[in-house]
Amino acid sequence: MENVSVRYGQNVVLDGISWEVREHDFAAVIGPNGGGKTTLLKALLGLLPLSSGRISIFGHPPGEGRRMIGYVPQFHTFDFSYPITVSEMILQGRFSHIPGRLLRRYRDEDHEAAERALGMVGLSGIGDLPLSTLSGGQQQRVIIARALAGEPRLLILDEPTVYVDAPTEEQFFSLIDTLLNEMTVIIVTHDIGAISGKVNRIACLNRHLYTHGDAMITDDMLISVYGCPVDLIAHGVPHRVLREHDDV
Amino acid sequence: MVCRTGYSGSMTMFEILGYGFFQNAIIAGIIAAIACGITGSFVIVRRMVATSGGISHAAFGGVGLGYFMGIDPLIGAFLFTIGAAILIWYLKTHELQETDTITGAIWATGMAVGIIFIALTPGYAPDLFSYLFGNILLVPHQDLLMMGVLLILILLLVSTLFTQLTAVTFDEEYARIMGLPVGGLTLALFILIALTVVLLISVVGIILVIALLTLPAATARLYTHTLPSMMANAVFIGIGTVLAGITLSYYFDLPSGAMIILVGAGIYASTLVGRHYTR
Repeated sequence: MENVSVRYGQNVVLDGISWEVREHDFAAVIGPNGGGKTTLLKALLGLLPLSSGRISIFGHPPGEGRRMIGYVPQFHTFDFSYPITVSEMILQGRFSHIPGRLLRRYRDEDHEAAERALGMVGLSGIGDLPLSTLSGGQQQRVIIARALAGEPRLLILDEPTVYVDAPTEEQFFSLIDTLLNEMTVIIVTHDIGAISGKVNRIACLNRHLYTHGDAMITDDMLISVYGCPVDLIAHGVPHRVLREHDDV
Repeated sequence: MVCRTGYSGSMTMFEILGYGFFQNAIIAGIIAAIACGITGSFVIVRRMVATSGGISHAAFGGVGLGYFMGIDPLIGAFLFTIGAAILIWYLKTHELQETDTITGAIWATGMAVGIIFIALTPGYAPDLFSYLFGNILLVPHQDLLMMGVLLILILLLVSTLFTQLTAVTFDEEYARIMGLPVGGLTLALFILIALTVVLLISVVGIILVIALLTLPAATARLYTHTLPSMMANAVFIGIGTVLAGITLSYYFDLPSGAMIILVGAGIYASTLVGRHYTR
């Protein structure tokens, strides 16, 4: 990503952003709501035009690179009561691989990829269950499986730990750990506490992007991004380290 | 209004119309139920009930146009529903207005246009009540043929695009990321609603279309877990609803369209209550 800017009319949402994530990195983008996180995701997925700059995904522009990206949207945007089976839902992650325009039918290899994806998230054998009967944790893993069905090299997760309880979150991070052997993972979140110690590349986004290779969030970074010191969870320390808000 | 209301489903009328017309009513009912079950399921899962209401009421403008120009009002209705579907789609996809707002405007405008055309037409408008409230017992052969053609169009559209329509109604944003033509598929859904509305006018009338379109599908959704089984069940419930409605309408000498809807609402309500007590 080089010097990327995005504007809506006069409103500059992303301003001169440059960032590089390498293969098998576990990267995190944090920032407040309204800081441009969604816009950044859309830009990566090639869903909106850049005002300036260049994005390259494994050497391809975003539109083409989309086939190599597995996207996991925010959990709460889902209608889990939709009448659909788990495997039908996961198959939808195969569309970008299915040729043709009008008649797009799932082929054997699509069914195999969907089954493999379900296995990767530890849910083999539940393909025929209706989506609505799954538990919250299972539903989250099924959404990840849908992204994995496209056999991505890069997995992007939008706010993956919001609305998820603590045991589910733990399960989630151990799943990501195993996935990191095969792909690059980027998490986008406003919840600093949601970032695992395994993250090796971190950036804070609030119109500008403040990057830090060592996955350390410094006070200065938080102040420049959030505008004030924020409560911080220290990783490797088994409890919360709370800082006082001395201004605001 | 002193026009023929089509409400006079008395014994004598039945004797005059004979067995053939009753057969027509049954065929019309089955065609309508199949279309409703399929399109209605998409309407329910994608929450397009209000949009469907807008498209169906716009049909009245076409009925008025039909009277005014001296052509079959159903052809006018066909033109107006397709036009309304395309207009709502255009304004929605170009984010010019909230779908809700556009729907309300088109709903009322369609009705108003119809009323103006009918006022401009010399003489009275025969069968006006049939178009508004339906009369399945008086469906002519010609309309039956049109319904059959519309049903074939609907089946072709849905069977060709089924996986993609499922994807778009389940998760539109993801479908877009997967490279599906979301705009075109959304238009296909709206056109599907327009075709179904025209098909239903003879059976329940413009005012009541929305109920037959949604009640069987809403009932099926209460106990099914996949879209194909929801559609199959909705078709089955729809056929039962229409046949029971026709029978009751004949037996009590009451308007058929309204009886069909009341049966549909009754089945929906009792399924809802039944589900509440079995959980």
